[in-house]
Amino acid sequence: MLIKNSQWINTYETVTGKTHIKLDTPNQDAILSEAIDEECLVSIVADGHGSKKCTRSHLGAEFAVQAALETVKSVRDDLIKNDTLNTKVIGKYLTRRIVKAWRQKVDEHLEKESLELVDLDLSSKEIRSIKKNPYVSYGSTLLMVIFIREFIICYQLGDGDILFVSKAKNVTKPIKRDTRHIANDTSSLCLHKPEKEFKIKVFRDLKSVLQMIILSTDGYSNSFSSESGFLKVGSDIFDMIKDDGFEVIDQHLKEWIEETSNHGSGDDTSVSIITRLEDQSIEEVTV
Amino acid sequence: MKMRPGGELATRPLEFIWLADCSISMRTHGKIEALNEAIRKSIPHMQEVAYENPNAQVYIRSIKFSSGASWHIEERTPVEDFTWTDLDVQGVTDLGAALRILKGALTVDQMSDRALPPVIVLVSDGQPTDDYKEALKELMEEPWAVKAVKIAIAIGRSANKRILKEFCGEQGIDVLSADNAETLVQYIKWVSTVVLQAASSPASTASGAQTMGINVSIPIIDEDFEDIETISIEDVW
Repeated sequence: MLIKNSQWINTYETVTGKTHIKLDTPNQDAILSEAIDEECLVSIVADGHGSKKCTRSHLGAEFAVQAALETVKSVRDDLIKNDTLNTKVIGKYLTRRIVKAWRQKVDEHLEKESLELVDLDLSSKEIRSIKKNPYVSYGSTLLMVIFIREFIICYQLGDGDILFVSKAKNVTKPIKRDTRHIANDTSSLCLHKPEKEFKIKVFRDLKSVLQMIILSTDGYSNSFSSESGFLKVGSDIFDMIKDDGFEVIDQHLKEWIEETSNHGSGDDTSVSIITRLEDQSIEEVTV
Repeated sequence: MKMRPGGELATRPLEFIWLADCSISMRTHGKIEALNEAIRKSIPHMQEVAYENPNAQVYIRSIKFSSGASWHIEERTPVEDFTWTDLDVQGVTDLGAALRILKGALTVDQMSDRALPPVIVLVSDGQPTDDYKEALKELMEEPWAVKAVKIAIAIGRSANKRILKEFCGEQGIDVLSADNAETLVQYIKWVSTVVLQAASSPASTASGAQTMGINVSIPIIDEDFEDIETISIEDVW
């Protein structure tokens, strides 16, 4: 799927992991990008938890990307004020609205299709926790990057990764890994006041430094034997675009992430790659 | 097709650690022989579960405790290569010493960020003879110990189930009571298959600052499980 505006070009894909294919359960990831206009592009990925308690988390992830996109569109004109970012909007104002929009979608779905907990293979404790907080059934993470004029705004709630690839081919993570997230733990939209758990990073005027951004769900990074092996994705794609152009990435992305998941984590995997439009003729920068 | 981007791929590691009581009381009524036999019998079942979950690499290790504690099998052995060496008995029940070794194996430095929740199975027939409380407290300071699936099997009627429950945690799984060799075999098989299978899942759990505990939903033991006790009274521990 190719998306572009005057500054950026984006391709994204998602694949169902072997574990879910075997269990005949849906892909728990959702992914969405949109060029809202020539100055604003948004890329979003979400990862539904997929545990026994989260029987509707594939929908929760879908609602998450939709809610995030709709919210960004609704505040698009307020994101920039006096030629700079409106900090009152990009922080809790935006994340609260995303959470509200997501909950509204869940509420509407619950109204149409109520949860039949007795049909599920759950302990009484698990049933009690869902009754107390039905959003748990739809639990999902959310990663989003907004590209607006010369600004890049990164949001992260829960696991997954955002990679920055510099023009000098250095690969870094703008938002560091949350050390609480081990053994499949993650922050989530379904928890109490999730807006407080969002990690937000803002960057300006990176045109001469930053070439590409990659968003991915944790099924991707968990498939590599080491962190350096995962970061190598950024430099390899940089080289491929330089040698063969962005279309090659668009053509092969699905096969690559399928192979990666199959031989790695076995989890659903979603990847979004956004690069500066002029990078179809990337010039390597000497450090 | 263009070469896939990125480095070497690998399945996610899953640590499975036995904590075995080798105190002298395990000699009575053939308990240690029953435990050795039960673990040995469970290996093919574990290998089968691992085969069916090709995206998790199960590694097995074992700690033994009596007067002091030590690694029984220290090397992280892939389940497909795992063989069981019989445990022997001697001395008392220094559970605390075993928990300290376990703590060393579950530190953040020792564990991979991408590991699945570890499974720890404690098997004991008695009362700890050292300061297990302090060791347990120190163990639970390790995030991977908090997130581990902790199962305790009480062998015979003398086992202190209250202490074993402390190991599992208040919110954790109830202590399993094995009063005879057959039940022990069944429980060992259950943890080696059903629990291992559940821990191999890549499903996530919502957990912010609000929640602490394990992320693995362990299925309830089959209702007909208890019906296996068709043995004579002298075989009961």
